[in-house]
Amino acid sequence: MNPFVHKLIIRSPVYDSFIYKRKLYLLTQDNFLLAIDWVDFISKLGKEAGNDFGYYCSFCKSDYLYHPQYAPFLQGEAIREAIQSVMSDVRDDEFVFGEGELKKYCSTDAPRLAQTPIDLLVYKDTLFYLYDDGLYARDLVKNRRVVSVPHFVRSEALLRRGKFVSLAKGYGSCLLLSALDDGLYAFDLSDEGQGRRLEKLCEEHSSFVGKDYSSFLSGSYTRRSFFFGRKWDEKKRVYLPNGKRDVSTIFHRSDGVYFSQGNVLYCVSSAGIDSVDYTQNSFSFSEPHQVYNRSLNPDDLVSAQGTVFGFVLEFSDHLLVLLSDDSSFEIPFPKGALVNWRVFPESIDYENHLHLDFADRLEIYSFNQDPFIEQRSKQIGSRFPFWQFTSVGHWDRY
Amino acid sequence: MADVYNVGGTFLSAFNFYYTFVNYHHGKPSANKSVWTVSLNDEMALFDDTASCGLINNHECKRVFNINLKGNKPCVLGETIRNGSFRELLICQFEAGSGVLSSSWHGYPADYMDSKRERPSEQDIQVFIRKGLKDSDARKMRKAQRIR
Repeated sequence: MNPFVHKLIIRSPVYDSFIYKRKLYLLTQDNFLLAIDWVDFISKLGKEAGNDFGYYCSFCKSDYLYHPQYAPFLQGEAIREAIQSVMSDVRDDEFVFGEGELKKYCSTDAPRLAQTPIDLLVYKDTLFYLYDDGLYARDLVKNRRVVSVPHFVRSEALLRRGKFVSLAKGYGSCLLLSALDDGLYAFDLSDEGQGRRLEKLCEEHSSFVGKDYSSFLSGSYTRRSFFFGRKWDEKKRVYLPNGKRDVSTIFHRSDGVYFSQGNVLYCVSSAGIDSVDYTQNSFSFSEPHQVYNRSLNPDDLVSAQGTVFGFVLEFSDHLLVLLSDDSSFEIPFPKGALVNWRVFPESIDYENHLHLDFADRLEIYSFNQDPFIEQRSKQIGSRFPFWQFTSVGHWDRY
Repeated sequence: MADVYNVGGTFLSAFNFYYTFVNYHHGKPSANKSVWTVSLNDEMALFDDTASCGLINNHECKRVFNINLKGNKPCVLGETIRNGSFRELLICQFEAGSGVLSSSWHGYPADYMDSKRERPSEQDIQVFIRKGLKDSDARKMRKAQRIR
């Protein structure tokens, strides 16, 4: 067992879950959206265990140990070992909530969605979700002081057009919507976008989208996947197409399943995992480089995603987490038992979370090995985005 | 049990709807064409099962989906080699006929991972769940992911 991996189980039926601005949201199987005050919940656990710091960093503030101010401390062996000891001293725990009990624990009246959403995401305090007939939105944070999205976004039905299968945050203020053989669309959330809100980005088949700054991977489970470059045009003040490439030609193989993270594309194949770096300005790609050399079965792979702590690969009967310290962590389950899973690579405080939703429980894993790893030499997992600590994006301060 | 039906024929189903076993969706799969791999008896049984749910008794409904679950796992109903790749298909779609088939229904295995037109609606998925489909497989069907 990896001493830096911790697990909390909330025993209650959950269809989906996500974490945002100090709250854990649970979408129950009857479509109630419950919100638990997560910081309060974890603080109590930390106090009971006499390890506030370990619990806080593991479950509430994943960026804490990455902070440039603490880098000199982590470089000193004695302090580093002391912190590692505290971080590993977080015990796995399980909480059983009876029927109705979970609702009592929740901080707000639980709203109920009209039906189970196909996909959902949170962006700027707003929950966006897909139904058969289009895209919907609702305020997630009540009484918010700063209205960070235009008023029209706050109305519930944003786009009456089906059937989209996945939703992702795209470049600028747009959402990317995959529509299988109908291609890929961008929905502009900005005020300026009101005249041309829905734009078709490509005709090629799209099952899911992986974003890479302004460019994106349009992945397909049944046909070829493509990578689309986009570049900011300073004069026109818009993102314009900058190139398109069949991803199988980038990796020189056709049997792979692809995902992207940061400016890197990954190919999962029977040979392992290869990576390719992408340069936006020149729309160019490096040669494939193997980052994982054990055989994987792409035919059994359901989906994959990259995070700062590693890669998460969903197979039919287990989740394989390849960690940034080059170890791996396997979470087995009976075939077909895993209802949903999520990671939060664009979150600030919860980048180390992995949520697994089962029919009778939610398992929340926290991966904490990454702050102790030199970020530039990582092969697996994206580099921690240090621009979070600056206002102007100085990556090199660390 | 020997099939009492034949490909190309039209038969009256148990719920008094005419059903045609169209040639196009039987035999070998080809590009952009899915074919049944279950027997004609089983195909008709699936149509009857769909009618028994009351879904095709609605005159406005021209397209309905169904699934065959063994335990709670979907059974393979057909196959396709669409876009160069072979895939087993787990759901089927029945359509009210048009043109020469206007008085009858026909059906074919549907590729929910590939085609927007062949994706079941949330209403269809709720029917599948009531029949025993697991939430995990329902999620994959909604998101056009592979079910194993």
